[in-house]
Amino acid sequence: VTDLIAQLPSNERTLRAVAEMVFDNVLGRSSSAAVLLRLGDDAFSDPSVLVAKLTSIFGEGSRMLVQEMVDASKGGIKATA
Amino acid sequence: MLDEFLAPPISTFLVKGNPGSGKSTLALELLRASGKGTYVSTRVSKEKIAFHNQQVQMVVLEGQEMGFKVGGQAIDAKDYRLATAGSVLSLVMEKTKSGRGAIIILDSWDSIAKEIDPIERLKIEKTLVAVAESNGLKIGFISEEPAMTTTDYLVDAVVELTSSITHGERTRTLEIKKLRGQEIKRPVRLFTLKNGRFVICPATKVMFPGQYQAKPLSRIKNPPHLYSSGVADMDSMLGGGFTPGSSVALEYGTNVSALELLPIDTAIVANFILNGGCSVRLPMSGTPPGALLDTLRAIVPPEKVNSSVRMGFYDKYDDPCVFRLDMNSVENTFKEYWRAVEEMKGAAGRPCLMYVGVEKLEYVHGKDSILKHVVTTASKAKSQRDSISFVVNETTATKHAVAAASDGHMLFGTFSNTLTLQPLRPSSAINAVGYDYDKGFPQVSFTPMV
Repeated sequence: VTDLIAQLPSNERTLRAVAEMVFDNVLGRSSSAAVLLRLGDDAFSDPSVLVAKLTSIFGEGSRMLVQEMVDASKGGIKATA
Repeated sequence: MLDEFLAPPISTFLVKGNPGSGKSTLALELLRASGKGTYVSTRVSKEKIAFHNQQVQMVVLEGQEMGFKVGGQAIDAKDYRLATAGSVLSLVMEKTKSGRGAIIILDSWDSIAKEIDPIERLKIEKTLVAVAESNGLKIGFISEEPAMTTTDYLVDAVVELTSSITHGERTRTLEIKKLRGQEIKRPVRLFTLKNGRFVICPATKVMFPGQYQAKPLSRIKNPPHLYSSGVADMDSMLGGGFTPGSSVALEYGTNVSALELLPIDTAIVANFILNGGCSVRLPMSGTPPGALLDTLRAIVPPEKVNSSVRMGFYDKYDDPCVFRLDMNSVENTFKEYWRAVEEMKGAAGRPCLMYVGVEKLEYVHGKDSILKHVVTTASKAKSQRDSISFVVNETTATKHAVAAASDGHMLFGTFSNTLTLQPLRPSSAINAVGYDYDKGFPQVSFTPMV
């Protein structure tokens, strides 16, 4: 999972936008807002930081979330291309 | 208490029940047992909670915020009456920093969950469960929704509290509906909210000398003009003790075995004879004479028992306290009974504690002639200022007539292995009966269901 995340575009804004979209879908809007608040802005500087922070909140439960985010991100890249 | 809920495998639990069923008291009790946690109130102000719960005091916590003190433990308290689901989740996220093992009580979760659509609710609940599990937190959801909801499926444990009325008095029960990964040993339990605490009534334990180290009984002296029952809680219930010349119908349900009543029987008879009285009885079903006599002789000097207790029996029984009854004649049975009473009372006319097993008399002699003897026995006992108990059970045909002819009426039952006693006349709260043998004799306690 970490390897896959490492392939995400490191552009902070892209990562944040994708993360927000996935959080809204998977966690729901209320949870998404709470999770984003808990993550802090620095979580989106690097995919590996985001993974570490998510894992600290959700533990192993974040695996599926991360996978969805990776998939969504790939879709985003494809659309841009 | 509910140790199962505080055990590490459980990270989320749901407490369900109607208003007034004891959910908040249970939640506070779990916080008290845990020693650290947060109480999130979504319905009631902190001040009201402290006002309504005897175990809660308002205190100033670090940071000048008002919190609770529950049983000496400082508990963070949050007034979230106007909060949203998102802010509840933010609070839980914040609490992940405060270390593992803390409990967060959401009382009630419904009031917030009802404001959001079902899919959003499910997602929030899944998030809360995942966060609790991976951070070693416990989250307690309190709910007034009787129907099954998404919370029931997601949490590790579900308990439902109910309150019902039997013969005009309250019974409170707790049912453990789900306990993930653990065996549910007693799925239904009685509990009481006495003194503002949530107390689960233990299973009533019947033991015999040999199973505990028997020691001489410490008697309770008779109060002026009354006979002590030998059970402090029963004396309080009776306004000090038995009134000389009083009669009571003791009814027991078909789910109660006579042996379950033996410790209370022993405590009463032992105390009565140590106070200078005597006891004469016609047998009740299910207890051979030795069951009572052997226990009495273990906690009261045997010579005292031999000179103060007589029991009728329909078979040959080799014991100085036992007299033979005539299975073919109810007249002879009562004749023998009154002969034994006169012998025991003696010239001094010492007070007598009488027991008549009406259910047994019916089995042996049929119901037709029993009532006449019950009535004459009661009036004779009254005139002699003795105390008499008529033992009946659910199937006794003359039960209602016997109860009507008696001054009082008490009903024994069992609920999930807890013996209960309900005074029907005069009516008062149902009690859970407890037996303790630590002092070397059966000590009986009554815990009222409130």
